[in-house]
Amino acid sequence: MSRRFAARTSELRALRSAIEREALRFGFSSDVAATVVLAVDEAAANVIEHSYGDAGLQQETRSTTILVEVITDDRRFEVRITDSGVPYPGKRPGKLDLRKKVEAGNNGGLGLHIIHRVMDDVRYTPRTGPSNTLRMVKYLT
Amino acid sequence: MSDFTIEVQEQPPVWTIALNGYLDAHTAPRLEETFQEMIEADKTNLVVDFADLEYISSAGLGVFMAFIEDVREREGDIKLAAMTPKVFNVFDLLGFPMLYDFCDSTNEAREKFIAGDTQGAA
Repeated sequence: MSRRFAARTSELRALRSAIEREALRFGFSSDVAATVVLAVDEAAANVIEHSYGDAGLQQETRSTTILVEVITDDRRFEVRITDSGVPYPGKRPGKLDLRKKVEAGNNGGLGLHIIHRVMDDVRYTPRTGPSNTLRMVKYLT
Repeated sequence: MSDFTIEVQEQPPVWTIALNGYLDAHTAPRLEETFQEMIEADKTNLVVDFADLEYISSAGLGVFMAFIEDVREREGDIKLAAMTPKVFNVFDLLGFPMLYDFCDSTNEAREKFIAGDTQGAA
C-alpha cells in the first residue's frame, strides 16, 4: 500500500480503515491488527498536530499531506509515515509515570508511549532531506 | 452519521456521559468541552458510558487525564463503565486501571456514587 492522506485529523478514520485492511490481509489476528492500527493512528496524529502544527494554517485549509506506505514480507509488517513538516522529538520516551503526569496535569506524549509499546521496532529519521520518516515494524509471531 | 456523539443523562446526584463512535485526535476536543461544562456547573459525580464507543486513541485517554484531578479535588470522580475489551485494552496498555475506577456497568458506577464512593481506584 502507498497512499497519501491530507494532513488533517478528519482523515484519521480513513487511514485506520486502510491499515486495518492491510494488517488483517497480512495475517495478524484482529486483536494484534487493532494495536497496529492504534500505533499508526498515534503516529499520524503526531505528524498532523506537531510536524504541521506550526504551519499557521487551519487544518481544513492545509494542502499538506502525509505519505503512508505498508511494506511486508513473510513475517514483517512495516509502516512508513513520511511528512515534510517540522521534525518532532521522535526518540523513545522514558518510563511512563502515569500518576505523576496526572498530578502535573500533563496529558501529552501518550501517543509515543503507545507506539513503542505496540510495535517491535520504531525508527524515526528527522529531515535529512525534504522529509521526515517514521518506520514502525511489527512481526508476525 | 457523525463519527462521534456525546449524550449526557442527568440523574442527580450522578451524571452519565454516554459516548458513541470513535474518540480520536479529531473528536477528543468535543469531549473536553463536555467535561469543562460539567465541572463549571459543579456536576462532578460523572459516569462515562463506553458501551457504544468503537475506538479510542491517546487523545481520548488524555481527556480523562486532564480532568480527573480537578473532579476529585471537588470530591467527585470520573468512573469509566461498560467498556468493550478492545477499548479497555488501550487504557490497560498505559496503566490506567491503577488510577481510575473501571466498572462493569453504568448501574454499578452509579450505585458506587450513591453509596458515597467517590475515590474508586487507589
